[in-house]
Amino acid sequence: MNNYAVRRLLQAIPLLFVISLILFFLMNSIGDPLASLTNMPRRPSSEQITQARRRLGLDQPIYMQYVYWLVGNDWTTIDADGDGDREEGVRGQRRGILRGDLGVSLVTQQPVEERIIDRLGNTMILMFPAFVLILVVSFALGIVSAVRQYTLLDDILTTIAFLFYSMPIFLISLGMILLFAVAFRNWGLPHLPIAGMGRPGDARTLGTLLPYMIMPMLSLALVSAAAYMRYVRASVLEVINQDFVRTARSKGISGRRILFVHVLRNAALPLVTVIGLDLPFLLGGAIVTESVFAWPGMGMLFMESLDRADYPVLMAMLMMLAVFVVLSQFITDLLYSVVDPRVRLG
Amino acid sequence: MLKRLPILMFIALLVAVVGGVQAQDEPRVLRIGLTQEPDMLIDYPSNTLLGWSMARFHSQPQWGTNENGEIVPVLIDEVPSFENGGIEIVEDPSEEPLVEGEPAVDMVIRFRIADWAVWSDGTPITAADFLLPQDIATDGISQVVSFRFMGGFPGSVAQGETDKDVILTFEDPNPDWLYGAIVPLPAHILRESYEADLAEGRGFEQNAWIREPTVSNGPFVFDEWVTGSFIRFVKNPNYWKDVWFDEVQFQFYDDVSVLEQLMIAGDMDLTSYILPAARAAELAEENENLAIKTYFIGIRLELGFNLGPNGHPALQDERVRRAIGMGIDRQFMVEEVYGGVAEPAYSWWSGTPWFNEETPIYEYDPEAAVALLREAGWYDEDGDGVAEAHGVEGVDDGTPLEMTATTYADIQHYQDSLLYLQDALSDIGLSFDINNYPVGEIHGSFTSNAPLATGQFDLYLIAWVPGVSTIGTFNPYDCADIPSEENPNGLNGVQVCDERLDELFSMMDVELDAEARQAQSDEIQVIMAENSYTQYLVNVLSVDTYNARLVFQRTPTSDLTPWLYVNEWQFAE
Repeated sequence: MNNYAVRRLLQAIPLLFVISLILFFLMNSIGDPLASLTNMPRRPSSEQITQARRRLGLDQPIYMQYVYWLVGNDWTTIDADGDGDREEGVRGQRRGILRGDLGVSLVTQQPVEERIIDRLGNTMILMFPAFVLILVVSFALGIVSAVRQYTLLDDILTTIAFLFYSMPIFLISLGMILLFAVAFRNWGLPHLPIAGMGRPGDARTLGTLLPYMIMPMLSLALVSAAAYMRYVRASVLEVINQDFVRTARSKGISGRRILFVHVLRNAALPLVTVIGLDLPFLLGGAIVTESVFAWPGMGMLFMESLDRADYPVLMAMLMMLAVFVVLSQFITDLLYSVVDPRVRLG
Repeated sequence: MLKRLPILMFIALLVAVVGGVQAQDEPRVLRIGLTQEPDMLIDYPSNTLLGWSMARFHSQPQWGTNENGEIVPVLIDEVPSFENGGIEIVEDPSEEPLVEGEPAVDMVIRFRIADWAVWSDGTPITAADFLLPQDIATDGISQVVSFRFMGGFPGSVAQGETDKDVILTFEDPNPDWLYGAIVPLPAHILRESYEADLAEGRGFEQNAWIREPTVSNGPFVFDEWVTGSFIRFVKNPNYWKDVWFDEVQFQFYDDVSVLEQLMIAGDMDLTSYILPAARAAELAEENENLAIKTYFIGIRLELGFNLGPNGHPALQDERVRRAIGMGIDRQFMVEEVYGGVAEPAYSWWSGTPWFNEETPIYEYDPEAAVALLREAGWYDEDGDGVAEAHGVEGVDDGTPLEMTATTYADIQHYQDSLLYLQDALSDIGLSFDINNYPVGEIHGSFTSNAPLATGQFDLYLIAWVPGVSTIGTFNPYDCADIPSEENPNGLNGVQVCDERLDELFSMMDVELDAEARQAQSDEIQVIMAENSYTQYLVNVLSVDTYNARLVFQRTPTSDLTPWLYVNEWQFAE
């Protein structure tokens, strides 16, 4: 088991290196962080743009930019004033991602980790309750749907699941806004706030947050629970018809015990994989939902950074996701051996 | 009943929570909706227009421009001029002369900071506060964008006789000296931390104060910034004029349709430049609580031609370029694409007092355009609707008049305009494919293979922002500024190159005589039109959509001090 864990972690290193290389070259082709300078009333001259580019190190060949991003530039002199010459004795200040420095945002000039930490908490506040809701709803309805296979209830649940699963999330989100925020308000009913995370100036408490959380959380839950419900239903159905379940029934074990002890434990195996793969994306936020509801989380940060070609922030976010995906797969594999004693890792 | 208790409790909690949100609208809070968040609140290190604009929201320079383009005092009692002795031209033997045989000269401007001008903490504003930005801009470490300080003009700042006197020196005569406006920084707060940072090799951009400027000189002072959500400013207790609002909140909503709903619901008071003009007009018509105000800040749409070696050969012929202009119905664009919220444009100075009425205007006339193309050797003989070359020098007979066109993929009205052009120009036998790119990609450098810089287009729909506060402007058609390996950030991607144009733009840079300057711009307008170097299309008006209870009689159109009158804004009683 220990050997397996060490081997898997060592395998992750070249994998992450290749991912970082591909992402870095992709990120550098998404646009120019200085393009916004072209729309100024007093437009800078091309010479001034060149100077700004040098100061940010964007004039360097892409492989050198990658090296600086990876190992930092504190070992070399830089062109701090943008005049085209490296200043004698003026060294860079970046330590590189390998030494824990995620870089500096090209837009806000803030350390990238500061930008991410600012938003990560907000994403967690939204995504974790949403994920719990998704799991509870999908397991409950999936089991009911499987146990009542081909009944009217199963048909209704299946139809609803397909309906929400096939709807784009922005449509659900905007529909909710129109109903619960706009129409309810017009009808004089208690209504939800349209978007945001609270009123400026209000203290952030559960009471002030909850009204703002309801719609984005429900939007996420409706789409994802629909998909998960189908997985649960399929897994339960597969297990429920197996010989050991029939044997258990013939031994007079109660239906509830069979379902929750025997069926669910076995049905959970494929679900562990699906959930394990989805977990890292909780930290990445939900781009569309956060954008529509102006929830200032990781999804919105990603979009903002993409719009402004702020690739140090994008790189850090994507690398963070890559690390979490690798880790969660590793943990999922370990969990497999716990859930299913037949699986032996070595 | 007991089984349903948790459900009932949940519903009760929901109603209680939701009901609590209804108590909205605190008194005297102005809520402004934006789709983007600024990068910082001090503009010197900022790469964005929003950063520049927000800096001017809380802090002001020594002078500004009003809605009529007149220079007005802001932190001073009197604007310097040649007449009052505040501006003078002095010889500078240390410099190379601009004109051979004549001495090199500097332009020296003196102004005195008003005694009533104080920071929000009550400290008087002094020359030291104008010197600090200069130190930051020239320290060689701070990431200050060079054109942010003194408008990017070569020059310097010094203290005069007293700590209230400031001397600006431009290295050349500068008719646009008003852009030497400097937003001061509170030296009594920042000097020490800035110098400490500098000693450790850290530039001003790493000073947390640029995101939390707790002291300002405008009507409002920074209070709180919740990243991604809002920025809150409160009334400056030491501002020297009356301020009606107690608080201004900038709130950020990524989705424009959500912003629309907030405006309709009355949860937002103002959005600027965000809603497309036609949509804003429609909203105001449908909702009586909404109104719009339009104004021109200098955004002018034009159809540029690639006159470089990669451009379609037909574009080398002025008659083809003119025919394209005559195939475009500008008035139709104004009405159909911009919902009436735009104006036809015919020159770089259209819509400003400096427009030359003598500029040749080739009105919409598709039949004449077809005839002109035929004269140039381009007409449709095979009946496929697209003209072909017939006896055009240097072009194989039968070469179709097929081109590629590009514009911004992330701005809807540009795409709508280009689609209209595609349709309209097909009527005169010109066909083009559209390849759009995001702003960040299109304006990249030559070395990053950006489409504009490397000439990967024939037609290019663009909007330059020459501004409206001065006749002086940048020259986007400079022969020396064609993008290349050596000049990767060159502006002149359309590769217009006319020596007389360059000469005239250079003369305008240093011409102090207003009449002579006007004559130079008049000639530029005629040259551009006669050669059809580009086709100016429409002046895109900026639209403020606002709650009708908001009263702001004087909307600043200034591109120097966009929030000049924000202290006067109020809600109707």
